[in-house]
Amino acid sequence: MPNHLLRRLRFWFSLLIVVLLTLPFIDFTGIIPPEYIRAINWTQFIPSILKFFEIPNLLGTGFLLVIILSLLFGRVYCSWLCPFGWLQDLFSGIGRLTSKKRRFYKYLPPLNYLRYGLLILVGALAFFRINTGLIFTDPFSIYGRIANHLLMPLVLGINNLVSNLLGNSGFYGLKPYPYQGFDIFAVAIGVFYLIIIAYISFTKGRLYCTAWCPVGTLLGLFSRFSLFKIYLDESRCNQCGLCATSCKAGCIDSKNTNVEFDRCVGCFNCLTVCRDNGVKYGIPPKKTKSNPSSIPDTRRREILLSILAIGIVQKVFGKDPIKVQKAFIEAVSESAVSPPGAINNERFTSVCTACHACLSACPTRVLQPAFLQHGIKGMLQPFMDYHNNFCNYECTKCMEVCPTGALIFLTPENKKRTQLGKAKFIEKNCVVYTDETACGACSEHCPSKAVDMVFYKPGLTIPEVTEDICVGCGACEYACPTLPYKAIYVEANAIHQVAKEPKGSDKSKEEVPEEFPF
Amino acid sequence: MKRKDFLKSLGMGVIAGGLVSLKGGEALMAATANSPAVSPGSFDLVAVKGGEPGIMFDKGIAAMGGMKRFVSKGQKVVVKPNIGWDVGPERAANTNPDLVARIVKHCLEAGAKEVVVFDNTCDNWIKAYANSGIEKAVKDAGGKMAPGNTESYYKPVTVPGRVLKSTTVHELILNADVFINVPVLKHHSSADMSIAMKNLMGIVWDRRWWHRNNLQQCIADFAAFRKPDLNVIDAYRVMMKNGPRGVSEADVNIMKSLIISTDIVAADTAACKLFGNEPDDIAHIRIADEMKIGTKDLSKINIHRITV
Repeated sequence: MPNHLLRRLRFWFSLLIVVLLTLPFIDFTGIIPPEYIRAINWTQFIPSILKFFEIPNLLGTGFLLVIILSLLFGRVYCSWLCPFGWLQDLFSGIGRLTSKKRRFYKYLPPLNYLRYGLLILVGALAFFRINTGLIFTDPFSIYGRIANHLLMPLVLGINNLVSNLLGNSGFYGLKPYPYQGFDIFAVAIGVFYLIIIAYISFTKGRLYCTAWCPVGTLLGLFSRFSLFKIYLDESRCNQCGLCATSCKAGCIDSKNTNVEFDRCVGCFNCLTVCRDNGVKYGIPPKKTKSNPSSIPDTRRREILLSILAIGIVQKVFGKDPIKVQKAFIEAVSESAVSPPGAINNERFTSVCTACHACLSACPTRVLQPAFLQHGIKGMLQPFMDYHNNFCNYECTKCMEVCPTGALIFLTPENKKRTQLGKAKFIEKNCVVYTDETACGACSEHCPSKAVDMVFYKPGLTIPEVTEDICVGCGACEYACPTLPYKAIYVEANAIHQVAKEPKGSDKSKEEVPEEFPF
Repeated sequence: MKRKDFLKSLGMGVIAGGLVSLKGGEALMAATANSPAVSPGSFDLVAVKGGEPGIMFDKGIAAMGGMKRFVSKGQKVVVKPNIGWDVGPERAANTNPDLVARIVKHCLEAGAKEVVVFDNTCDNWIKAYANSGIEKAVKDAGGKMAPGNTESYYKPVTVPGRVLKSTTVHELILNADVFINVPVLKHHSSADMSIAMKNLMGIVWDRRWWHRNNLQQCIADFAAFRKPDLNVIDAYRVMMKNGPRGVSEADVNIMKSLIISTDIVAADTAACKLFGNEPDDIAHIRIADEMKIGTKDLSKINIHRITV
């Protein structure tokens, strides 16, 4: 393939992929089918590798493709499939267009200590089932959060603005959707990453990918052995350095006629700039000159340091989650309520990378990013926020879209019997007790009548909870009108239980009245 | 409301050269032809039993004087069923979709400019609209489904109530020429019964306030705000227990009945009796009668009973 075509193909392909990947994150209508979301997220390295080890099946094999691609063509994931990489290209593109400098990029020496140290640290943490490292470094998850918490509200806002303008003139074709998912912490983290990445890529191209991103570093280890490589043709290269000025990764060391291919992100921009056609992509010839090793032998030190760091991290992070104050002195849930399919909080928090694919898909937005609800190690991972909304009884969407296997798919029947927690009634906060007027909002919303109204005083009923049929959906907690605290809340099951089936059947009685009773 | 409608008709009539009054005459004649044994339009309440929802409504509205008595040409109609829950029609938590569709059809036939259907749902609105079967039924009948899920639609109003003095109401109701209330009769864990007055909670935004501040009184209070021009109570399938959401079909009795009335309190009273409850035991019916929003004394009103 001619070089300029390869470059152009990369441009359009990565644009297509990023659009396809972004759609589920900005879909506030819930129209995108889970099958599509699963299929498109299959391409993503970290979610796929986690899913492979959590629930081995075909959906978790995407990472194998990425590894094979890396062994054949280099780190093409970074420029062709990674949405966060694309975002950086966007900023560096703007930076390059607005800059007066003709020679924009230059060779950057590798920051091996940093990148290998981080790779080992994040990898080891993940091995010990602490996902904190991945939550804050996996490029897909970072991008997902930016798309969902920054881009989605923007799209939603435009939709609502237009629909309100149209709605006021009596047209209800374009419907507004309330922005229910606002979470200041998640938004702040998204803005933080966006600013950092914008700054870095604006000035230094793909420095994040070559110096920080553990996925990039790992794929770099594969790409060192890849079949196809970018190399400089020594017979043609006059070491002018033009190719290096086009290299976002800063990995072309033209002075030494060398391309440090383990840092190359596979954008193929350099292939078309050389006037002497000296930049080649293919199976490189055997080196005639001895290649100065670009990787200093610091591994042993790095490994030792990493192990020490892991020890510290485990000491600090590995503790029980911080207790959630349930707004009542007496009522303290031992842990956060985790989504259906989590099976148990420990397993869930050790697999989830907080990409927020489930948050984006959740029709009620009951799923919210945790601050400390899952403990420090589970920061940003989703939990069931029953002050925001409640879990739709029939819905299984979060489990259908989860790309990492943190949420295991349960059939609707099984999901309806999964007890995420148990409703606890606090009589002293209840309107029926305090005001002696009718309420029952909790019981109204309960899908299994685990919360029922029973005799309290003549003409007045009060909630009563049957815990073994409660599924912990949070409808009662959400609906409870009392202020400032709720009179009913869900006490989390750190290990999800099986709820008993509520009494009922699919048989209705036919009872047409003989005569009207009036 | 009738007076307002009349004045509107009169105004239009002057402009259109008496066209509206001519149409009205036709309506009366058409309705008379449908049920010759009675004098349609003279009843305060019509009760129908024994048929499918659509047919029962056909008979019932004819006895009420036909839809043209309530809807004039070019008017904007809002039909407010109960679409609170993400469950299918067999569970009877929402109004029967066939009934809603038939009402929409009658309104359009009477010359309505548009017929809009909405509810401020309890479960996720997209799912409730779809799985209740109402969205499809309304669209097929030529009506429009409008969202009720966003606070910005709800405008502040004052309510002549004892406890409830002000709230916010969906703009569609405020801008409607005709408001048709189409509840489903069912058991309700908070309000004892959910019928026509209770169904009006679906046109306001902040329901928690009601729950906090004497729910039964608030339900009665709000019935005085904007009395529906027509109340059509769906009692085809009736949830006898575990309301308002229900747990399974075992909660449901198939009663194949329908009540139509312009008096919201009388409608609730009749439906309550049909259900097997004593209206005096239902606080909001008792209070609404006391506040003279309508009457719970069915002996004082003109009732017509139809068996299909």
